[in-house]
Amino acid sequence: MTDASTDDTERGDSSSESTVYHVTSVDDMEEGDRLLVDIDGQSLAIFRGSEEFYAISNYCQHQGGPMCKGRMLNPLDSTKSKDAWELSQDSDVPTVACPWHGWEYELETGEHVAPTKYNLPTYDTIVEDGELYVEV
Amino acid sequence: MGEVDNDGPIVFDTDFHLNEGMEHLVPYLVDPYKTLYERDYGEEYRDPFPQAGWFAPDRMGKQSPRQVQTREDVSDAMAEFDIDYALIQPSNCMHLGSVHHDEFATALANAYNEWASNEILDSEKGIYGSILVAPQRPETAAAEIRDRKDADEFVSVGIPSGGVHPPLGNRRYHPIYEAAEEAGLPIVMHNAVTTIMTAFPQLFQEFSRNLTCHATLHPMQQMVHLADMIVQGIPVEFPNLKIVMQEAGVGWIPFMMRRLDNEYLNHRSDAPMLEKMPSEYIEDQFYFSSQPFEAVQEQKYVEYVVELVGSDSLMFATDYPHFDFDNTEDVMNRLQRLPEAEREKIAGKTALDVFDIDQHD
Ligand code: FES
Repeated sequence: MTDASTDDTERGDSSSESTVYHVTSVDDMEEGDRLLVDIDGQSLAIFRGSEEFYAISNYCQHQGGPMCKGRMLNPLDSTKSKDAWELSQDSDVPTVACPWHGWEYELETGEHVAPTKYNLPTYDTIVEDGELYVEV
Repeated sequence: MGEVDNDGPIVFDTDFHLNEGMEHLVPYLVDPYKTLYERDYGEEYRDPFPQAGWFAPDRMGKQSPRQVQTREDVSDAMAEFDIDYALIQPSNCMHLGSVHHDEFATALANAYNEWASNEILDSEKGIYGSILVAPQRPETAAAEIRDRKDADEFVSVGIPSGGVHPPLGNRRYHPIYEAAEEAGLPIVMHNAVTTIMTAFPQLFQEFSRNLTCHATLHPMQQMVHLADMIVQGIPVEFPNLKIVMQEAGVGWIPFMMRRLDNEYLNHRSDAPMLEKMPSEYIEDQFYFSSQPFEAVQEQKYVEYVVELVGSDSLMFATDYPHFDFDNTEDVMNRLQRLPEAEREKIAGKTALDVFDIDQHD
């Protein structure tokens, strides 16, 4: 696990309670890579998707599985054809599935892909001058 | 023993699995099976276990496969999950009860036991196992038990019970029970769903008493229909349809609501069309008649079940004049402590609503 360092630069709305932490250099992560960082005792899983970076809580809402070890994918959908529900994978919503039992969360929102109350906290990521920051 | 966590209670995990492959078992197979198997398949061992369409899109490529194939793998996982003792079970060999070649099945059970005993189990580390037996050959199974009963690492007899046909009450299995009892070993039964699927309807034909049929089949059949209707999207396609399930008792309803929700969170892509959780569809569109209200003598049980199922879904029924009918007064007495509005719903108001009948004067 990497210890994220507090960024010295002042950012964003100073009245907000959030703090920006430096994570790593953008070049250090390729698409599909993930990083486990510890910020003030909280474990965050950082993922690099095809377009952007995501930061979510590392602690799965089900039984605490390590999200940073989960696979990134897109959820399956189904569309009604004449006489069946056909499975399709048209969605381009990036998700991550917990490696323990497969609970699947949207990386952007942290919402479980099933219609349930469970979701994971997510955090904003910021890229500036080739460096990746997370706002907690 | 595994790492004992001094802060908490002793943890004994009574169902912990290996991911054995044929490559682990073949070296321990007796001849002629070892020679035949190696000659036929070389290193490309074909899996001999029956399967029933294990294509699970929701699982494929989603989770990281966790393989437990060595003693070290077991110890590592025990440490990770704070387990002090574990009862080790196979995975593939859970399908053994449905292998169609009886002698080969017994050879596989024997090979699994040899492999587990030599390479996995370790009583000093708290890693225990079951003597796996093939129920297809009860006498051979009994011999397997007698051969291994004194080994410290075996603390039970494992029957891979999924799809075992006839069911395990049949006299033909007595040699297994005799040997287990004589050895002082409990029998441990574990199913494999894909084998149950291949044998389930036929299994029913071997029930030798009405009690077996009646006690199990009413709720099981409704569980099957309920699960299938939800997973195939019936309530999504027919959102105004009300569905009443009768005569299956009540305790299984909260169980299935929770079991379906629990599984849906892992298997959502087997039914991506659902817009609500399975239990919400059950609450909104399914209704259950209360008879035969098992344990109606137990006030607490009745109240708890009603609370879990909900008075909007439960409808009183007598089933009169069938032999297991419920007496109105008796059931109503047990509902006495519920709020009046709930009692009235269960007694009749929900039914008036479901069947769209105006209350008579
Ligand atoms: S702990 Fe994450 S799915 Fe179970």
